[in-house]
Amino acid sequence: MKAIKGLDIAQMGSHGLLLRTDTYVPAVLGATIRDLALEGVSDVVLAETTLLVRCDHAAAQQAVQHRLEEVIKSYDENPLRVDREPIEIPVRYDGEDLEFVAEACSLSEEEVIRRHLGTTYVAAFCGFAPGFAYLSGLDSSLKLPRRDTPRTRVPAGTVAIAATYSAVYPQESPGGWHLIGSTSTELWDVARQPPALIEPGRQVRFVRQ
Amino acid sequence: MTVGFRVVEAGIATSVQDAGRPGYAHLGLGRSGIADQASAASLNRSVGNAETTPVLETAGGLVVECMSRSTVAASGWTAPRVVAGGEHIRIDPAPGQQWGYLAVASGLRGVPVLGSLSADTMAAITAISVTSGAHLEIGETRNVSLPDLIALPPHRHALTLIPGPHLDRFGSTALQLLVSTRWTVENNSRVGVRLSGGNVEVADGSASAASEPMVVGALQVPPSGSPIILGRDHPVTGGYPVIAVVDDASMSQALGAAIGTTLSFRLS
Repeated sequence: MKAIKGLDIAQMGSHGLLLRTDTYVPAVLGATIRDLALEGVSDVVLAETTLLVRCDHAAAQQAVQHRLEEVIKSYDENPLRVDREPIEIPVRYDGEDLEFVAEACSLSEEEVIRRHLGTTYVAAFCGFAPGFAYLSGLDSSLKLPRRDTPRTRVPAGTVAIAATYSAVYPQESPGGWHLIGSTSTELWDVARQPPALIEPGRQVRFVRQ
Repeated sequence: MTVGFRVVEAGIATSVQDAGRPGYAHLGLGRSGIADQASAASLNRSVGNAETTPVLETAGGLVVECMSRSTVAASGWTAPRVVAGGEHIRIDPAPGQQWGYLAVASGLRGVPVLGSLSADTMAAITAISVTSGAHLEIGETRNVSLPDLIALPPHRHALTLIPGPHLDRFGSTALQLLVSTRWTVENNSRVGVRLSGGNVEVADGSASAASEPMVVGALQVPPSGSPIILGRDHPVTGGYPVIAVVDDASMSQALGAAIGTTLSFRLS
């Protein structure tokens, strides 16, 4: 493990390099690394305070690590890419947990909706399922832990909140978040390039339908 | 393209697999791909293909009818064969193996999804559906000189682990326990290999930590203490700490171990 400029790099298996940072935004650093198209890098996986650079083969790992160390030495983080218009997602606030969320946050349902609509979100990272973007920027008064027991089936297009995030379930899946609404916007489509509507770093606004 | 096979019995957990789809992990889509790459590679080589040419992968009970004369190799065979149209082939994993493969000269063909024919169970992607009655297409057959034998991948007594990256989230004796225990494969799917036989001690409060990026072969340890080796279709992020990752050279053996068999580890 090696610390450089607010970041350390650790090997994760023979193909992975795990970058831990409390200084940089993984979505921005990850996009920078992807744009460099470094030889031997196949993927960049993003998470909350970490990102993983996955190499094509084990033999590439060391060379990629050296290149990353160089990149980070001269790295000057730009704020999130705001050159593109926020994606607008129309929402019907018909989620089955809306009443629970209002009660748990000591707010009226209408106030929960107003606060959920009142922010521009930023896609921090995608994970859990293809195209599932963790949207940061949720109003702090709506912060709730995940459900104790996840639902076995959450329909595609469900708008939900948990912890400091909001998200839209791209496909039907199990899920432990609080369901507050739904959208008919297609979040994931393998016939589209890129297949995910919301890429890490993109801004998102919800609009009431 | 020509019709190569008709699926007579789809078998268990059967899918088409190739090298998988790199390049989409930042969007939450994993790589997927052939689970036991070493076994599939030796079959592919034996019929004159590149190592990750699309193959059929099954947990057992797959039966196909050959629709035209073709050169094929299946798990458990000692050499590739030229089969005539109308002939049935049954594909099962070799003893001790979780996955059986069928390779055909020139490979299975189809319309790739995001650059790959691999089915991804986690992402609900199926480029080629392997259901009973389905017709599977193959490339144009060409003449290849066949080797006499299918080379068997090496079998290691103990699989090599690269420790970390979350060692700080484990008790001090956890690594020692990992390498001194004879683990039994409880379950094996494309998503992961669940082990039993010991209790790897996870530090208090560690289970509820934030999600982190995952890699194939990561030994994730949930609060129960029974490790799970992440398979090719693992979610790109996960919340359980990773004590070690299976080294690339041992990966096929780890992901290919049949339910009920035992695994031992050593540190790199």
